[in-house]
Amino acid sequence: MQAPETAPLDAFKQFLASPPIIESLVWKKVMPSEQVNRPQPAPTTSRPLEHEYWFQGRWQPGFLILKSGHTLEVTQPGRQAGDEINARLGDDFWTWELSGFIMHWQERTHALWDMRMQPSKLFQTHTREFREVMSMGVMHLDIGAIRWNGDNFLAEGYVPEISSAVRAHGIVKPDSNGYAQEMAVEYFIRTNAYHYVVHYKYDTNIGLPFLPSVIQSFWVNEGKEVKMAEYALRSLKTSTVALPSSLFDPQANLRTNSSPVLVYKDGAWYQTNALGKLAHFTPPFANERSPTTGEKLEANQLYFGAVFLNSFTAFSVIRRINKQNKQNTKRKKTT
Amino acid sequence: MKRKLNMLLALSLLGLTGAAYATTCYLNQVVLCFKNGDKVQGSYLHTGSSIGGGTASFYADIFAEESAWRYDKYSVTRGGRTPNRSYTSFCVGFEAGGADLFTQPAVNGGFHVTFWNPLTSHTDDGWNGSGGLSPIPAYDERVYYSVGASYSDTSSTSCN
Repeated sequence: MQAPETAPLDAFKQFLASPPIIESLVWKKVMPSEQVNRPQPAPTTSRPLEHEYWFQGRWQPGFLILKSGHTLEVTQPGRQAGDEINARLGDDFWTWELSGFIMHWQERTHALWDMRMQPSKLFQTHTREFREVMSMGVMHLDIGAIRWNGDNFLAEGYVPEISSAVRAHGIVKPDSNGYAQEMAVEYFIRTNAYHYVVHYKYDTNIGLPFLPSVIQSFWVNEGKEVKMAEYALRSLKTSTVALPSSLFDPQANLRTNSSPVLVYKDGAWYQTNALGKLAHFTPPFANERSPTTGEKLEANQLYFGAVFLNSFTAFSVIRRINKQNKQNTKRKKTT
Repeated sequence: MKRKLNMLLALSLLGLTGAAYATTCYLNQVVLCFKNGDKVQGSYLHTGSSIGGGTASFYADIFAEESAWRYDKYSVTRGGRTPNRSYTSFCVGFEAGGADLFTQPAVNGGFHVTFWNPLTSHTDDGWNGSGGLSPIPAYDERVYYSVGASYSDTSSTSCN
């Protein structure tokens, strides 16, 4: 817990530059209505973009487990149906996606910008909300990347989707009570500059009083503020001691689940086969085409074989019975 | 009379074979069209209404934010795919993701995609709708893609 004599703004800045171990952080992401209510494509049977997502994260340097789902049930132990889990234990990465597919791979590179493997980039995308909340709404940064100079900050980040570095700088402004009220941020990506402002609200004490309970991020476009994201923080529990790695390990849930585990190794995906060995995950229909008549016949060869065998057996039996009948008739005639 | 009995025997044997054919066991294999994180489309041109208002266009790579898959119902006893599962292409017009693996997803159900928006620098979510077509809700556009399928040797068997 922060010492009481520390000013709220200073404690806020310290959290961003040097965050404590996070035992549990629960929040809700609310999609801005201008994004959710945009025209939905046909067919209407599509699962729409959800208006709200719930998250629970646990973090310490080198370790992360992030659960996300449609309800507050994500805070329950284990994995509920419809939850997604992303976990990192040192070099081991896991993604347990909504559909039930589980992906596992190892990545020895820890810096965002050095990660080259596609699943690692995916992991960064899937966990971006946690990093954004830990950076109080500042995008594209790793946790604790912000460096302060007074109320101004500078940070280097990364956008995995375009494999590009980001330079961010900004300034935090306090309210009349000394709490962080808003943060103006400018991002420089390649040759472009983007302007954002993040507003903070303090409706409840989430666990650390100097942190806001609502974070709203706005893109500043031609003088207008367009809401891009809103995070409603529900609770935060920190720890002064390192958490055991078992708290970040999703494998306890895997043992009770029959979902397939895809393993990324040496640049390719594998899956455990019936013999318990890793089998290359190959595309068997890479060049798909309609089967020819011959192939259709071949595909049904078991059926045709069974019909032939049964017919052959039936006629053999009939022939034998006929033969026996004839012999019996002859015997009767002779007697 | 005996000949008639023999014919009946032969016909019943053929009938039994037919019954065995009707009682077919299927293996529901999972075909993965896109793995979580796969690039769905590179340098896709977005055009249409923009979040900030007005119209805008930009290029962006689109990535699957969840695995897109469909069942391939494979007949064990008949030795092949069933007529109702004779896809001309596994990854066009497919059920896609968004459902638990052990629940059949809606046909043309679509799946989540993500892309970095160069107009806003924000990572946006989108929805890849009807299989083979990928409208991005925020821009009401469609991406046409074609990819090879991969089998995940899993799921269940069923007989009917």
